[in-house]
Amino acid sequence: MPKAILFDASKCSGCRACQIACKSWNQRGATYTTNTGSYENPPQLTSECWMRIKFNEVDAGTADTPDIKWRFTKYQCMHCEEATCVKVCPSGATAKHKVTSGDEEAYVVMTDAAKCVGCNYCVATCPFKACRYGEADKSVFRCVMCFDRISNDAASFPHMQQFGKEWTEKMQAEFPRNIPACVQTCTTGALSFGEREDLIKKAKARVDYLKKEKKVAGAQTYGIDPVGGVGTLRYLYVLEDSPDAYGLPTDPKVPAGVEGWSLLAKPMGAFALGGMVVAAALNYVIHRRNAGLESKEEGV
Amino acid sequence: MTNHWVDLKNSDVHMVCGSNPTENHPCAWKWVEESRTKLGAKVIVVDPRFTRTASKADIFSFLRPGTDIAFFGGLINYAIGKNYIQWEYVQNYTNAPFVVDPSYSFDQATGHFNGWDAEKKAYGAAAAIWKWVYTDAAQTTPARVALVDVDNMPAARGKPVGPVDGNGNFIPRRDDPLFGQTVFAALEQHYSRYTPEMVEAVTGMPKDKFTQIAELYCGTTYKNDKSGNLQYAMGLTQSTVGVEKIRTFSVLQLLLGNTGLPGGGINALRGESNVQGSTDYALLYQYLPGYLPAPEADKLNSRAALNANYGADKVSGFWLNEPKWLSSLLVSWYGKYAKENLDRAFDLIPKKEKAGSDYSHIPLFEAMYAGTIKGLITWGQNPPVGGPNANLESAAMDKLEWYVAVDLWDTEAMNFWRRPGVKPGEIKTKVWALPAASSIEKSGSVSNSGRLAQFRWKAVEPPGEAKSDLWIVDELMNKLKELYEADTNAPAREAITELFWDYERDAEGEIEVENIGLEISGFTYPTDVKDTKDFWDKARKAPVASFAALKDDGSTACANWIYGGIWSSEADAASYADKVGVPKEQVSRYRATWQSQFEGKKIFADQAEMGIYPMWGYSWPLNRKVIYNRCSMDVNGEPWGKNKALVRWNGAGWDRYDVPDFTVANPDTSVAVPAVSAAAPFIMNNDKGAQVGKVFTNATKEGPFPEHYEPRESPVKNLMNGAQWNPAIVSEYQSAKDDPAKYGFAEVGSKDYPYIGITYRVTEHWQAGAMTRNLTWLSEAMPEMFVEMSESLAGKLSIKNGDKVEVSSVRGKVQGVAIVTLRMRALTIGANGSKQEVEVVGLPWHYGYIGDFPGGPERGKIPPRSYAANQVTPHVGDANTTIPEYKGFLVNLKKVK
Repeated sequence: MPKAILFDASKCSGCRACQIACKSWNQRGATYTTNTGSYENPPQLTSECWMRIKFNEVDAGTADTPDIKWRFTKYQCMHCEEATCVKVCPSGATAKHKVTSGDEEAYVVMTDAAKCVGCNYCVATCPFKACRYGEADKSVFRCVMCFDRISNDAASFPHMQQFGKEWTEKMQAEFPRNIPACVQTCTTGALSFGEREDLIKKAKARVDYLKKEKKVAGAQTYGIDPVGGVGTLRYLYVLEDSPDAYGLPTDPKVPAGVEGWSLLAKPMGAFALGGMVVAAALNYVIHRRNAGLESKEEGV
Repeated sequence: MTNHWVDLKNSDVHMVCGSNPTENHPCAWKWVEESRTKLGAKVIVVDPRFTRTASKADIFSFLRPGTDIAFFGGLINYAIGKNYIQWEYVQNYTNAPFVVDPSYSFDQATGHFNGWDAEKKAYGAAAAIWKWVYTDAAQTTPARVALVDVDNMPAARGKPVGPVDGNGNFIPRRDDPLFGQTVFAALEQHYSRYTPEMVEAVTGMPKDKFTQIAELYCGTTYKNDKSGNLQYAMGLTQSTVGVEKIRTFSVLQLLLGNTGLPGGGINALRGESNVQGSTDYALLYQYLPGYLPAPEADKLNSRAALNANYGADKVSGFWLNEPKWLSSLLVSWYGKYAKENLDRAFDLIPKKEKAGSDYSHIPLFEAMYAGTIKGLITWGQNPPVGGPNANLESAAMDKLEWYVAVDLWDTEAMNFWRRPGVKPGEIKTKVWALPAASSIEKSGSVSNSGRLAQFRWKAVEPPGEAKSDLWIVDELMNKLKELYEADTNAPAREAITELFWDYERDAEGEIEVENIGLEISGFTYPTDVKDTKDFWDKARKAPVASFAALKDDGSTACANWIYGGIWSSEADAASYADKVGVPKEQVSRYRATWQSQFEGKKIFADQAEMGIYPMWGYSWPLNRKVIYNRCSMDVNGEPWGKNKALVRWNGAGWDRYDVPDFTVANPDTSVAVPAVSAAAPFIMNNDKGAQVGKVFTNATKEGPFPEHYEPRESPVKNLMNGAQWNPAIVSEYQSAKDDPAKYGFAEVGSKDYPYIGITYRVTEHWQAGAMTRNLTWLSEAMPEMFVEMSESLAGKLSIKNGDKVEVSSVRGKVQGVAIVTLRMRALTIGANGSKQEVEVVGLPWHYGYIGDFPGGPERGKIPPRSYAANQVTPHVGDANTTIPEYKGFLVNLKKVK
């Protein structure tokens, strides 16, 4: 059963508690930023910033009767069904990792830092520009949907154990703990985590509500149906306007050649990793090339 | 809050004005969202800026800073005009039917109510000027007029009967000659000037938008089974008319029948986790703990005088019990010394010099500037960033002989002597910095906006030499005692030497916090005490059940009567233990500790899904969640609506989900029928025979009805009346008189300072910034000082988004990065024929010159300039509270290289 996160933009207040919680749980550092004339910061995803809230201002009204909208979007790796990064990864570092053993559909896309050769093919080809290379760890990073939380039984959380099984079960029913950090910290209920099927129902019901009760003509979902060339997403969105207005790509393009490349690169990568000397040489070349690559990506 | 956070889910319409909950109280918003899904609630947001909260509104409107009274007054006028009045409520639960004293008048030409002394340029004591008529010489029964036909016409009480309008609402008896003499008629006349056109002219809110908002708020919530609430914060209070702004909306809430109902009321969203607690425990100078008035040396300088004062103007209502609360407070402070002689103990406590003495923030810093105050201790306060007119306040600190700062971080306050632009060698102040423990590094209770006290246990040890506030106070007190004991000639020596300071200590020698909890709750003072442990053992065995059990003879001790009963009865503690499923020995009887480790609806059943949770912490008074809850029912004790039930008369007694805030039993302990409480639904109101909601008040300094006055600095003349600013404020402190060019004000319509400045907070930072400008994750998200402005203003001044700009006022300047945004707009104001546009410039006030992120591009070092927004704000405040006017002052703006 696929798992997913639902982001309901109609409930998001842009408080960015999720952005901070992500850094807190995943032990990401901060960078010195500057104000560039917006509340939005950091200016882009990096190896230290796996998700961020985008702020988009639009005036949907006329000069006399302004109708200002401030659109907040949670932006991070979408954990695509047809993940480009998985296809292009030569070393097998980036792969779909199963959340529940034996359940192929319940996956998150993750990069194993120990295996990552730093080739940056995934960074270059990601249609969402959602994975980023980190020089310090010599690996690519992205949202991992808090794999370490969601793949664990809540009862194994250290702070839960003192209260015993019965209490833990009660708490789990009411306030589940083994959910992604961003979801747990969300103040307004804009984020939820669970079975993708359940969230699809929830998202559709919310869109119906927004259209009927709130007269939001542009209400729509994103990520439920296949998007661009990457299939369906494991991040679902309820939006009050077109994905464009939120800074989400309406038709994320997978660069031509990815399919062919994956056929070529994978065996090569496996071969390279097979020989220590070759691997070390490859690593050296690639990392040299990557120096300074971190800051050059456009802001998403 | 009259209500509480969870109760926001019971509201049908939210008026968010003067607050920014999604940014500054993010967790509150989930209850607003719940009201939307549960009741289809609507959200109105009115603000000078389009905030993150505004992005979640059903209707948003801009409003010129400081003009809320014009807007709210317009709502009152609209509600009366459309007959959106909850008549049963207004007739029975408010003073609208009272007959106004003939001396009442309002002169639009001068902007003054009756009682203005032109020579002294002041009003006299409010209660002596603004009055209603009594039918008897003893003044026990106010004269009442039936505003609508009611079923008990002689008493002018009861259920409305008679003719109705097209909406099915009762039609007022305007033909009755007495009608014109009532509070209601005076109110109607006063606000008849607040037409939609005037609202637009004063506030800049377009007339159509105003009508849309008024129709939604008034037209929905005047209905019996609907409620609307005001969520306000510093956007209303930080003003020279702060109290009056809130009062205007309070009057509207009474007219619409919204106060006392679930989802209704007047909700102050407190800006700090424990700011409610700090006022409850008398951080405000005008009170002793529990809002008992502070004694005055020239008038109330004996206990008898203070008690007589309570008796003199408080002949009814439970404030009559104030002497008991004062007595118990004295015993908690002075122990045996007070028990033996209460008057002697009273003499020892500090007093205000005279009735009007103001010891709030602004006057204190004026006194430091004048050299009157020579030493200062601050606890978690950062005046060079947070104080108004920060340049003046820093200069005032230069004159101190000594200064002690207790804080978590290195702050601007600790470093005022080396702020940008001064020579440290020239400042002689001796400065100590005491490192304090943070909220997770110490144990103690906090009280949130909903008056709910909750305990927090220490989670980790404080770093280095940091100590809890209690430890610091304890050390300070022990040293003072030692010094005073040694000096037999010390003035008022007993004030220190006789102070009760005998607490049980934990293994580390620190005061047992639960002793304090019991002291706050109250106990019968033990006799024949052997030692400290024996004292507290006996006290634990004799707690008072509530403040009702306190005595005025020195036999009871209680440090804060409003929390009387927070130490639970044994039966309640056992019941709690049973529900939680732990042995009762494990449960503290200190109710503030009953909470979060056992969170969850399934464990603590909510009361009828009204969000009451009576076994979670303790809400003062008496664990009551919604105050004035008699008003949630009609005169017969039937709740106004299915979704609005808190208490109900079942024919023989009272079914209750919440603790009743009215008389449920007669003195003979028989059940009090609904008629008893219907006649006195506001028992905390201390007026004679008039325990009802005050549409007409005798308790604020400006007058019986709120009137619009411009901010002290304004780009325009007051259109509503002849007074430019609130006549009751101190319009100029000594600093401004002595040095107007440096610390004074811009004139009305100033050409040099043509724009309106406002200050505010953002989600990512906390108050004066010490706690967040040193946290890299938060500072990364909001790294430096910025200035928000409209596209039109930026265009005029050739400022591009991201440029560096400078904001200046008479008092100083501050630089930041320009955010040119759709979310700020020029507002069109002025009467027809003289329309003009005014621009608003927005400044967050978190930044300064110390810390990892001081406020500008410099990191981790003292920058060449300060980035504190308060360098441009003025030293002027509200007439009743002296809260500084941060919302609406005059500035100029320019691009800098």
